Amino acid sequence: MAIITIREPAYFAAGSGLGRGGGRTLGVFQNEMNRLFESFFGHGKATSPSGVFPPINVYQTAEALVVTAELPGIKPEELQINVEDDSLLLQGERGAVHEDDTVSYHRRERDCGSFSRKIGFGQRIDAQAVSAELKDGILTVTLPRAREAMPHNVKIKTS
Amino acid sequence: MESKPLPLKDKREHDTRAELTQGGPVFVPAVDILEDSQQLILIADMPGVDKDGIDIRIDNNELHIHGRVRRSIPGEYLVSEYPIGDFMRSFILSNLVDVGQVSASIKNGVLRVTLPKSQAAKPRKIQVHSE
Repeated sequence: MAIITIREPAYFAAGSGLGRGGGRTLGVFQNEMNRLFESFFGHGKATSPSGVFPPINVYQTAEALVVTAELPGIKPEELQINVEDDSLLLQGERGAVHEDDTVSYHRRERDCGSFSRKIGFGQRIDAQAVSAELKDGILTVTLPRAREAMPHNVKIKTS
Repeated sequence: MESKPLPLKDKREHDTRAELTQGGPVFVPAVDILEDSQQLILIADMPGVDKDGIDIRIDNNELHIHGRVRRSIPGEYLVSEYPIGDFMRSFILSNLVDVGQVSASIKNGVLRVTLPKSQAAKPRKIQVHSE
């Protein structure tokens, strides 16, 4: 006898009282439309995976590049961050939770293992000023641009 | 210790938006479910969710977990490899779980729900009396 059953995300069972057919179809359609609008207007950018763990998002401001990655369950001591002039190296390991004989697994979807990813930026980073934060399973690395890589105004000489 | 490389997996998006009124994608968290003689433990990866963002409900033997992720976009997007959104998943509990004793904690973006078994479901040693 199953002690816990996973309820797969699915459409409503018939007779759930939440409306069938029309409402549902509209919901899905609206989601698609929302997504189209979002990707169109840049709120929720369409994603393009790189094939390497961990997936990252990179943002830029005038002063810095900001890299974020989802690393749930990884402690700061399990993560290594190295910075060079124009690249960032993320390395770490996520260990298994239980390897005990008395425990049996009903489901095991969370992977464990190691990772190593180097991210090149094509612009110089002020390596001394890089900071990183790991909070609620999200890593945020802030990489200030090297002074010469920052945008600056050019003064026009008048003769 | 050498270990195998972590595989890259896309976040799985929910295909229903039933209970939500806000926009944006909602994802299905990866879970481990473990059982020992005393309890079941459900572990779910919910990066970006803190204590205040988690909502756990038990309703008619259905366990619902919902984690709200606060979006903070620190600048203009250069690269986007993963989408950001809330997490939601439901489980059906058998009556072997003592729903009154369920507890939960969240740390480093990992939710851990402890579901103690009811007395009837725990292994027992039967005392044998001599006559």
